[in-house]
Amino acid sequence: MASSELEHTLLPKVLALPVFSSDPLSSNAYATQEIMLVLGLVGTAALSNVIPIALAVALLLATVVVSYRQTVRAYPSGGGAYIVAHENLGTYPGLLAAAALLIDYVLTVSVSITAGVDAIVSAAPTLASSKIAMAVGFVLFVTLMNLRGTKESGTLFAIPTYGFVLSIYALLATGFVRCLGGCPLAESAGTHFEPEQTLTLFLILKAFSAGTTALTGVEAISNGVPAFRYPQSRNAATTLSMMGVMSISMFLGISLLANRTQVVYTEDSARTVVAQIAHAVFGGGFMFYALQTMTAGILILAANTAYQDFPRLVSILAQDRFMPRQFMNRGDRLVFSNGVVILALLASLLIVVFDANLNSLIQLYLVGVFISFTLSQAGMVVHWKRGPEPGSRRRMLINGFGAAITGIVFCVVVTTKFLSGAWIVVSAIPLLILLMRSIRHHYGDVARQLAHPDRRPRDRRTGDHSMVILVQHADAATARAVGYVRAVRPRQATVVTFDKGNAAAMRRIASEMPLTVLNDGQHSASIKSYLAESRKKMPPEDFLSLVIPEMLEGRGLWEIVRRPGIHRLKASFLRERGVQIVDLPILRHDIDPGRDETEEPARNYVVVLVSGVHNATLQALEYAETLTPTDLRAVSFGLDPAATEKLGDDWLSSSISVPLELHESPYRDMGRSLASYVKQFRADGRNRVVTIVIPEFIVRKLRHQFLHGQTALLVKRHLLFEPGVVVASVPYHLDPEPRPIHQKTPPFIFKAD
Amino acid sequence: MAMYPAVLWKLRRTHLRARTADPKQIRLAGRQLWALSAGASVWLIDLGPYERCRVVGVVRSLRVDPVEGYIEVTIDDGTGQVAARWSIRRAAPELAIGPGVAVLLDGVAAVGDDGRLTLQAPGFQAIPYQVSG
Repeated sequence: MASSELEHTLLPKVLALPVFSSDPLSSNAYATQEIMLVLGLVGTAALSNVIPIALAVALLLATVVVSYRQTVRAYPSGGGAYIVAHENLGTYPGLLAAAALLIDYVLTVSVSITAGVDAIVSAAPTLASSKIAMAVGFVLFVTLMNLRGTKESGTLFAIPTYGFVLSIYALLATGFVRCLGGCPLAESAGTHFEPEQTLTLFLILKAFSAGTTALTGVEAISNGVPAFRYPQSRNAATTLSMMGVMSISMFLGISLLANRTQVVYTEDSARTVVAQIAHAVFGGGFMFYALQTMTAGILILAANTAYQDFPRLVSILAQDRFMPRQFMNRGDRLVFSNGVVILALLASLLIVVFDANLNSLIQLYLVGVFISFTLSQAGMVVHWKRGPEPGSRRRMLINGFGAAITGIVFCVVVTTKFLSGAWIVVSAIPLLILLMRSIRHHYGDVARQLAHPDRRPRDRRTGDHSMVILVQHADAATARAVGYVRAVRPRQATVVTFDKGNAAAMRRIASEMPLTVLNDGQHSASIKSYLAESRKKMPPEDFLSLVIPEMLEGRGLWEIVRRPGIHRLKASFLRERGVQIVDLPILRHDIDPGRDETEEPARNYVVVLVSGVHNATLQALEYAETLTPTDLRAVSFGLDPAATEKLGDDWLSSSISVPLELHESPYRDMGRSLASYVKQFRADGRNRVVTIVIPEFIVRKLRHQFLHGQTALLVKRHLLFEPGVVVASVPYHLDPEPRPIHQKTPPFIFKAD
Repeated sequence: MAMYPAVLWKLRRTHLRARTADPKQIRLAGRQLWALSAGASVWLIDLGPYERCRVVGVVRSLRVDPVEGYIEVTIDDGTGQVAARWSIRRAAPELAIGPGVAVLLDGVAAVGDDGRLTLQAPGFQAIPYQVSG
């Protein structure tokens, strides 16, 4: 989908409700039973306390909904806990909120899908042995649906969400009507068991904290405001209210009916509380199975809420350089696909590690939720304090009350659940914060090195360039490489080969170029050694290019996959300092047997791919100037308007004498956009060639490679099969300590960030 | 309870829209209507040389040429494309333009060196771009 179609994907309220609220609505399927599970430790008589505890949870839910209504109105561009805390409380509270939310979203997927599988197993106990496989399968299903796109998945997810809400209301209406003439009793009614503990304040607080699972996912709407149709804030606030009303009424209704039908629930119960009520009210007929189906459906699709918000949050963190930049961009279907895939992997891992056991998973769940609630509300208090406007005092009080209440509940949750599993989340959050901090540090270091004045390249005269042609076979590709090198007119051109059999042919087609036959053995090592020797003999500021001719048998991915050796070789040379790689591919069926391929092309259009004005770009531009171009230009694709403005300003203020073109990349795929762009040159490889110069950052540590987008690799894949296109990779080595390359004053007036 | 028929009706309408309409055609028509509603005096396909015009479109590309001393943008309104060029030796607020930004240009179209219609130093205004689909 094109970027211009983004508005088409915006959600009307009727679809936004199931997309963003399936999580809080679905938690009604297990919130009451979580309270009963704790109260059950004190014996059957204590189960009557479920009503006051449910009322307290409902009050808390109403407070949080009212508080978040203010957040969505104050932050129309999306006011998740991270943004609110980051903007109003500072970086570390922001990171704390982000870490809590990220963990919470992963748990949302694991918990809701496991609960959905439990509902299926309640109806069909024979499937109990396949719980893990079923849960992972459902994660895969929801992932694939989300990779299709928000709106498309929203339409699908609306059916079980509305189906569940209707079924629960039908259950409550039928149940309360039947209660007028004496309530039907649940199958477990009258079951007695010995109390394991006495009723203490701690146990009541524990039951209350268990019941607060009903609040999970309430913040999702505040994160997803940009996904709503215009007017976004108003629609988001209305949807939040609708969700609050539905959630509170269903939760209180289920708790009341559980009390009236005298449901008894323990860890050994075969059926969930909702299933027991439904069985008592509907008598096990069609409506019972319909409700169970809808419950399983909404629980599985409740994971969708996390699929909306996790990738969006990771994208925001990536924009702030706290996450790898690959998470920043939308994929082919306008979805943050990388975030979706990572979420699926982490959630599946949790399901497998915890054996798809809901009671174990749920112990981890609430810590992150209440950290984010508290920080978000506290951030809003500061927000209202900073910008006094009509009503801000009242709003500050509402958010302050919300922050205080959720803060207290957070303490209760941590105290009551710490030993049961909350310690895992409490330990994971600081580790995640450290990780995000170190990612930010790496990007800061890269930016400093790219702007370091000591590493700024100097202006070179055209011709200060030596080229080495690597000959594997003396074929048409090699002949064309000879023609290309002649057109560039380097200071020195040489040929290396491993095969003595190529020598005679090379002397015939490139008689003016000295030929060296390297010892066969470790190809990569011997060429590296040859290049190192050549480098020593050259002035340090000259460029040395290794030209690699490639004969391609056909187009497509298979052509890339079937020759891994050549790609490994090229990648290994990129790590060699002071060497540039020129890849010169040619398709076998493009060869004209009657033509001398060693002829120089008449025109060499040189295009430098740029993303910003920094040392790597300047080095690539200098390199491009030594290629004797017919036309030299810099091109950039798919930047946002702010980045475009910055690049244009930097370009002009840096006195770079090369035109810069900025183009749209409607499908956010730079490789495809560039392949389409080069077609205007009508390159044929004989008379006209296009050289694409790509500046590449080379990081020293392997783990840092994951923090860079590998854009160059994707671009090269697209350009490999374009006729007449030569790709030159100009590596820029990122060192821990920038080292001076030259002492001369640079000609560029370079404006660092 | 009265909400449910409306919800179901909206779901049905969304589903039918998705099945019957070609979103690309709808957006193209939407962009043309938007151009007129945003103040364009002419669609780009009808633009002739040497006439004063007000055109609206989305910037597809931008070229900054420090050697020749100009900034050129190409805009598209769904019917056609036109270039607009400004000298960078004068104040250039136009750099606030980038691909994807919607603009209203006011000037005279002339035939450029390359044979394309080009607006020379037109008045410029960034405008909001909202096309419903």
